[in-house]
Amino acid sequence: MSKTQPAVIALFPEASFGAALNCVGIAQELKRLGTKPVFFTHPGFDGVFSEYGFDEYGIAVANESSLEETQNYWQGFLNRHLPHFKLSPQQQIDSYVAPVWEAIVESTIDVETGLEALIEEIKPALIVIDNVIMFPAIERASCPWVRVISCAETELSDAFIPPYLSGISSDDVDAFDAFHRHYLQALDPIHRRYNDFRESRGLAALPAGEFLETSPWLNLILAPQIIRRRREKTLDQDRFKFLEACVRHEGPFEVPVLPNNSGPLVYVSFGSLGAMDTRLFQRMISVFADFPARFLLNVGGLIDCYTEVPDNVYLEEWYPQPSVVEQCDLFIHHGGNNSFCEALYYGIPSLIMPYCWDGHDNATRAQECKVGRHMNRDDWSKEQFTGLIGDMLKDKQMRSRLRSNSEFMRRQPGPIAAAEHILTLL
Amino acid sequence: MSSPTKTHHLDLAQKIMDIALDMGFQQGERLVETNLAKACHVSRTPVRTALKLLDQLGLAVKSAEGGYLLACDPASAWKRVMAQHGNAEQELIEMILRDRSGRRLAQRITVSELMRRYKVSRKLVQKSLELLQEQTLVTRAAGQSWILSPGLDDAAVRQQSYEYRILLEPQAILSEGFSLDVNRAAMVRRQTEALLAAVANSIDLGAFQKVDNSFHDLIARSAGNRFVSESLLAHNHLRRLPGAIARMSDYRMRTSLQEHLKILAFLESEQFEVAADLMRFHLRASSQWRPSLANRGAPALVRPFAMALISEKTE
Repeated sequence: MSKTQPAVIALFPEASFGAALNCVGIAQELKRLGTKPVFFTHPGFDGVFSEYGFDEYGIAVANESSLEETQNYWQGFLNRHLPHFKLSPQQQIDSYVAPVWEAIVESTIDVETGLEALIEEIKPALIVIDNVIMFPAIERASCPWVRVISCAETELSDAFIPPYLSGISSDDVDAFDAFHRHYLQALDPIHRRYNDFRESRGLAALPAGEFLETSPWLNLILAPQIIRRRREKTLDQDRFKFLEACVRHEGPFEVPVLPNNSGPLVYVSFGSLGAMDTRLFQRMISVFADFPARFLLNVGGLIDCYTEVPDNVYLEEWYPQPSVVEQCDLFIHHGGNNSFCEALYYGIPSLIMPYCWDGHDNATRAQECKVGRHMNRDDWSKEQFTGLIGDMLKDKQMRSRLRSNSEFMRRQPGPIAAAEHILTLL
Repeated sequence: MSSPTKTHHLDLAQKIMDIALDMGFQQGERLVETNLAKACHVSRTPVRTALKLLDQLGLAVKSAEGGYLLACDPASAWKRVMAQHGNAEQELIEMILRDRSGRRLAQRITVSELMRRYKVSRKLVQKSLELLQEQTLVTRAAGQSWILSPGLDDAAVRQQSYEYRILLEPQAILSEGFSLDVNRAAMVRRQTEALLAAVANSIDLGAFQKVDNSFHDLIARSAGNRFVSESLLAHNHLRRLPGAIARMSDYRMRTSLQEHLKILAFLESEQFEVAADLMRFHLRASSQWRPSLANRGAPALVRPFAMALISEKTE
């Protein structure tokens, strides 16, 4: 690698904060090791990476909508799907998962030409893709590509592992097949459309239900040892590397002094989409008002919806999350893999209330591995909720287990390991 | 409770201590009446009275050559004094503003509600509300009600604030008679460089806000047009209130501080047009919102979308 011309590594995370911030952690290390990480960004997601000092390249999109059209589309999307977040994972296959896959395939087709032009322009030495679908332009590029699996480990299927997005426990083997068949059936037309698109771009079709192949060069799996799953087929150790966590460097958070400032500190974040469900937040806030603890809530862009906040509750649109998680006693979240891994990294118990996607898998896994608890997002009473929070805050066994695991994880920082593995390909 | 005159002098004494802190004054430094009067936009007479008050509080001493010298560390002394002597209205105002920023108070509040919440007298609540009214932070409504004005913790108001500053701060630099206060500029530069020297990802938002305020106050005070100067200083006061500044990444804070240094360099070399252009760019970049909504499989949902949802809910 030349000192004057650092190798350009293009990172292409999907347009979600989990994947984006996971890649930021890796990019920070790649930069420290002398390469030039840059980001390819989906429309509307620009600005996230420049906040961390990285160059961004927006992908031109075919059939680009106006801002108003985009707003209307997503407003309709959320209006349709908020009620579906109350459903079981199996019920969500038809109502939520399939429409989301349809949107993913649609957006993949829309960005293909723009992505190909961008790769041609930037000529990266390597591409890191943290997504759930393959963009043919990446596989066609004349450089190696790395797949990062920052979703739950279930994304990489195996006969011993419950189906992806099912939330089924590892022991409930009999339930695997029914869910998987339902999933394949619901996704079949979408998958056929995607395969047609792949073939039109010179790529081989993928097996039913799969939208992203593993990389022939390197695959990084964000799955800390404490929650890692047993597989029937052992993964090739040269191509598959597990990461403990990818916690990025973020600024300090000073816990605010609240009018009622006593008790343990509980942090609540349901990710950016979860923040849209203001009704759930309102309900939780009314419960927190009477609980002897301090609550920090990440309410996203809809902060202006909240008034008359109790004296032991504090709301913000955005937190430097690693610093907050490090200081709290309990983390209530939606089971996003990034949030879950951050909780594990800092040794904080997770109370997971999933609403979709891999949140279901992580919630079940947290309970199985005794690193957290799973609670239904919608079906709970005040007594059940406060009882569970109280139990978790008092659970010394879980805390001690998490503390020693945290020490183990901190000795093996994921971003450094990821960056070092990636650099072996240059 | 303090009389209005005493409150005014106490406020001025506090301003003098803030200036001493901003300017990096050490114990024994001369507190020059004329400079303080100019900095506080008042005549020398109230400054003299405020200095006497500081003398009584043990924070300033008379100099043998006349005038006053600083007799304390300005960083900690004022807080200590306030804790001892108290300023009930100010304390209540701070609690009201903190609770407004924390969305704990409804927009319409009554004197009785505030009396119950803070366990204070009617007289104290009324006096504090009148002081807030002077700063246009509340308006009187019918009966015993008052309306809290939306603060800079409200996204739409914050955006308006940026638009206002984009209009006015470059104009302050281009105003006839703009004269950079070189001592204050040197102090701002020192503070900025000290913050930039901090290790990566360690800049505290509160420390950033203080240096940011010092820089923008410097621009306001240096303006040649008195009305522009007063208007910007009054607006900067709002930016010091709880919740007024949005949380941002370490990288953006550093970039912002570096932009301050660039603007200062152009001001010092009297390239005012370039400095004004950079100021416009600096404020525009600071006003940008991070995408706030996105999820697995769904493209990023930008802030305007969230705002559209809010409007729909409130309609």
